[in-house]
Formats: sequence, C-alpha cells, structure tokens
Amino acid sequence: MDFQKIVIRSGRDPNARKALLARNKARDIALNSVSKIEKFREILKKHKESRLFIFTEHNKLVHIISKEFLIPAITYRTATKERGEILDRFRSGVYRAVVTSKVLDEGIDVPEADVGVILSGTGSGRAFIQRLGRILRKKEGKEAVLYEIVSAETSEINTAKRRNKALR
Amino acid sequence: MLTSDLLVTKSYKGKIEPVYAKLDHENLEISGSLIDLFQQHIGKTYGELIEEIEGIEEIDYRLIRGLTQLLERRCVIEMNSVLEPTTARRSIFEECKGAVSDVKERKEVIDRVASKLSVEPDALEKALWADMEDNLIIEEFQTITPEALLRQYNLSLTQTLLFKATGMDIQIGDNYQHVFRKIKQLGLMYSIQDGKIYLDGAVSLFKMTERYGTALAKLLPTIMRCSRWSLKASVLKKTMQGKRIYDFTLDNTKPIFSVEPDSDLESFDSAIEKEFSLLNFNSWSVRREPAVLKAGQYAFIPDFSLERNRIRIYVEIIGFWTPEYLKNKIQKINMLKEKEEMILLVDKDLACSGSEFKTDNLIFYERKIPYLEILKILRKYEERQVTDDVEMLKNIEIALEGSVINLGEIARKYDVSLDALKIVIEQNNRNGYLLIGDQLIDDHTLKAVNDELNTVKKHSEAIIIFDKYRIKSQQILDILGYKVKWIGLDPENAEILKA
Repeated sequence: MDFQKIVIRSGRDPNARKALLARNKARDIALNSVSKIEKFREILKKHKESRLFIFTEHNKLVHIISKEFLIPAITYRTATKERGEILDRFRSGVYRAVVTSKVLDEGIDVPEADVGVILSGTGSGRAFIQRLGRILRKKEGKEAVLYEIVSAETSEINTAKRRNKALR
Repeated sequence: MLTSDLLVTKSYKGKIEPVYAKLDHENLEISGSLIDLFQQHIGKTYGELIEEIEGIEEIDYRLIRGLTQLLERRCVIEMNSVLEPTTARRSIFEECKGAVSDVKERKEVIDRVASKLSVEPDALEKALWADMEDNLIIEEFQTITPEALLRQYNLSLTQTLLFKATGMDIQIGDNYQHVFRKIKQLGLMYSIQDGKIYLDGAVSLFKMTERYGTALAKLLPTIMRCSRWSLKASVLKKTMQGKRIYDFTLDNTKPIFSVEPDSDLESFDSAIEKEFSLLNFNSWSVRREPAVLKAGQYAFIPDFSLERNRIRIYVEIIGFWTPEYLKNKIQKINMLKEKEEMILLVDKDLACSGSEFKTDNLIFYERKIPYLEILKILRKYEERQVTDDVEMLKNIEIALEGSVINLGEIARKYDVSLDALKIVIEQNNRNGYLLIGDQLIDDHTLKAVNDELNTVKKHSEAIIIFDKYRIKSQQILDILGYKVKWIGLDPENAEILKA
C-alpha cells in the first residue's frame, strides 16, 4: 500500500504511530474477543426460556452478536419503525432477545427482561445504573439476573471495577 | 461544502482564514492515494473503503476526511440485495424467536427461511444486513485528478467558513448577469454602492443566519467565475471569550481553487416559474431573466419578459416569502422606470394588499399560473399599441407600389403592427386596391384572376392561379363570388362554383 510510504514521509514520529496502532489493536481485541462471544453463548444456552436484553455500546459488537445469534439489533442507525417493531415484539414475547447499543440510554421505555447482559460497557456509573434499573424492574416473584462480560488482562477490568463502585 | 467539524481556521488580529491545503508534493500524494483507494473499491463495500481510510487518516485527519467527503459525492453507493433487508430480518427473527445459541441451529433457521422465501441461503445472509452503511456497494466512482481534488477542497473549506457569515461585500469585474441572477435565485438582498455589492439584511429577514450563510456559500463559485473579483465577509466564530466577528477576505489572486462550470443556469426558483416558462402566449415570445433593470441603487432582474413587435412586458412571479422580503421587493419595483410594463404574479397566500403596488397589472394567483388573466393584460397592450400606431400612421403618407402588396412587409418597414396598418388602410381611400387577408390587390390583378377562374372548374386549379399571382388568402374566392363545393373528403375533387 502506498500509504505506508506517506506515513513515513509525513514526518511523524514512527514510534508514536506504532504505539498508537498497538493500543488500537489491543482495544479492538478486547472489545471483540472471541472468548467474549463464547461466554455469551453459554449464557444464552443457560437461559433458554428467559427474556434477554443485551447491551454493548459498540455498534460493531451489536452487529456481530446479531449476526452470530440472529438476535434483533437496535443501534442509533435503526429506523424508528423497525426499532418500534422490535421492542413491541420483545414486549409481547415474539422475540426473546434484543441486542442494543447505547441508543436506549435515555428516554426510551425499555421492556422488562429477566436476564441482562452487558458486553464491554462504558465506565460511567450513571449510565450503567440507568441500564441496570431498566432491566431489573421488579417482576412479581421473579428475580432478574445481570451478567457483565469483560475480557481478562485488559483495561476493561478497571472499567468494570469503576462501574461497580458507582453502584454501591 | 464540508461538515463544519472538518473546517480548520487560523485567526489573528480580527482576521480569519481557513487552513488551505497547499498544492505541494505531499498533499498531492495524499489526494492521489485517496482517489486510487476509491477507484480500487468500485464494486466493493463502503465499509471496506472506510476501513482503509480510517487506517491512514491520522496522517492528516481533517484533510483526509474532507477529501473523502468530496470523493463520496462522486460515487454512486447503493444497496445490493435480492431481498428487502427489513423483511429478511423480520422473517429470520420470527423463525428463531429472537435468538439461536449454536451454529447448527443458526444454519437450520437460515435454511428454513431461505426456502420459505425461495432464495439461496447465501443470498439471504447477504440480504440480512445489506442496508447497513458498511455493506452498501460502491457502484460507480467518477474520478478526478489529485490537483483538482485539492482545489475543490480549498473551495469547499471557504464555503464552509461562509456558513457562519453574517454579511459579505463583493467586487466583480465582469459576469454581472450571472452573479445577479444567482443572487436573485438564492433570495439574497443587496445594495450597490461605489461599485461594491453589499449582501446584507438577511439577519433581519430571517432569524437563521445559517441559511443566509449557506446562500453566500452557494454564491461563491459564481463569484469565482468572474475574471476579477474580491470579497470581504464578516464571519461569526465562537471563541473562549464568546462569539466574535472576524473579517475574511479573498480575491482572484489566490490560485488554489477550482470552480466547476455552472450547471444550474437552467434551474428555476420554483415550480411555478418552470410552469410559466413552458406556456405559450399567442404571438408573444417568452424569455427568461431577460435583462438587468436599474432600480435606484439596486439591480433588478425580472423573471420573464413577454415580447411582441416592439413591446416588452416584464413578468415577476412573487412566490411565498416573508413580509419584509415582499416590502423590499415592492420598493424596488416602484423605483423601476419599467414599472408600467410589469406584470406581477403574487401568490394569494401572501399577506399583502394590492394597494401597495403602483401598478395595475397585479394578479393574485393560487397554485396555477393565471393564464387567461395574463392574456387579457397582454391584449390591453396589443390594443394600446394599435391605437398608438394608427395615430402615427395617420400623419404619414404610406407608399403603395405593385399589383399585390404584402402588408406584413409594409408594417415592418414603418415599424408598426399589422393590425394598425390594416385599420388605417381600411379607413383611407384605397386608390384602386382591395384588401384581402393581409394583402392589397389592385383592380387590374383582380380582374385578371377573375378571368382565369372562369376557365377552370377544380379548386386545385384555382389555387395554382392564386399562387401565380402570389395571392395568399383564399378569401378572394368569396370576394369574386365563388363557393367551394366539396366532393368527398379529397381536396383534389373539390370544385368551385359561381354562387
């Protein structure tokens, strides 16, 4: 690729660029790791009769999950009509799962679910609590479960710790 | 024009300027490589292209993103799918109740739905997310040279800066008609003083300065098409200390822009104008934006003119606008020398009474062009011209020579309307001539024709005789006391009979 040449000619510090690329790569792996997907698969198998609401703020991951598990997806790009249809059908039980990015953070009435799954969420406490509150909405005699899937040995552990602090 | 996040400016001492891309080796190489990337991705997905671009954009983020925006506009990017993606998804999600947990189950669902919809499983998989931006296909790409792209980028930067302009004054050395036409099309108000065109007043016209800025940005290429030009704009910029106005200046000495030829000269301001241009007003010919009229310190370009003989009537169509705009327009029209020759078509929805116009020719319209009413006004002008011409002809001796005289030629010679000439001729002594149709025929010729007609029977033979004498109107048959008897529908069989 010609761009390699340009990068060198651009007069930037090549080491700085390398470091940046390495960091980006690590983050991508952390976000999209295969083990995370497999962990999710286990959860899905364990809760075959449950209604699952899956969150991740990364649209890429939303689409990977939607594609792999044929779960209806809602991102900020989903048309209002289709979004409404998916949520209605989740509410009425036609669909038992929905995967979504942060589009549902504010102002949208999220239907009840008995299993919540967070994949690589934000480190912000407030947004997290809101999400949690929505899906853990008390249903008579039922207890809701929330999973958070994080990659070991990545920066996400810290993110998750920060988040749990906000909960207490 | 670019999105404003891609605009980089430098400002100092109250002046502002975009950071232009120099046409140097490095930028040309970046530009060329991006063009190559687009070229290589014809037939591939938009996602693949963007991924490649994201991989290099840190070389110069804003430049690369900016060039990418311009290049994207040169692409045809379309969805490529045998099925409507939302339908495909709905069918799949219904089939699996919203989730599958293993690969085998997934394949079964896809296969079942594929056979239900009678498509190949592969095609169904593809269709499922074919509407995602990343999966759209780059069908076409219209290439450009690296230098032209950089020049276009610099123009776009300037336009993007002008979005935030609150006013602008320009000086141009030529190309007036185009610039004024564009100013008019964009609905900009302006004044002329000492050879400078001040584009302003919009802030008081509508609250949205962005809209005004957009109009100024759109005007820029037209200004740049002049061979000599300069501009000065006031640009609003948010700073740490709040909003501030900066000066932006530019002229034709900076050779880092490129302007594509104007393609929208034919475009119309509104559907109603388009409709008007297609109408046929009898013998009146329609011309669009025919002249630049002077209205005090303003220039005024009417939408259309209707022309016939020596009369030229201007037509101005006033579609929906704000009361201020209308007031301004009326003031301008009232300053025109030509205001008597102006037909104003005003949208009925406008809150405006006719009394504000110093003209009789005001027609309120509703949706459709008031065709008949316009014809009525035109007839008034036609009649007035005939009266004037008759008055003039009465005072001169009309020279009539020859046995068959075409009055059209005479009318042209004296520069009067044919109707007027005929009226005068009918009123005066005709000295041995008879008026038939638009011709004067002398008694001698009339007699000769009559004699020849006695020898023939068929209508077609009579016509040959008329042609020989260059007589155009068959009214002559009537005058000489003949009737045409039709036998069947074939004119060849028609006969003439002495009545």
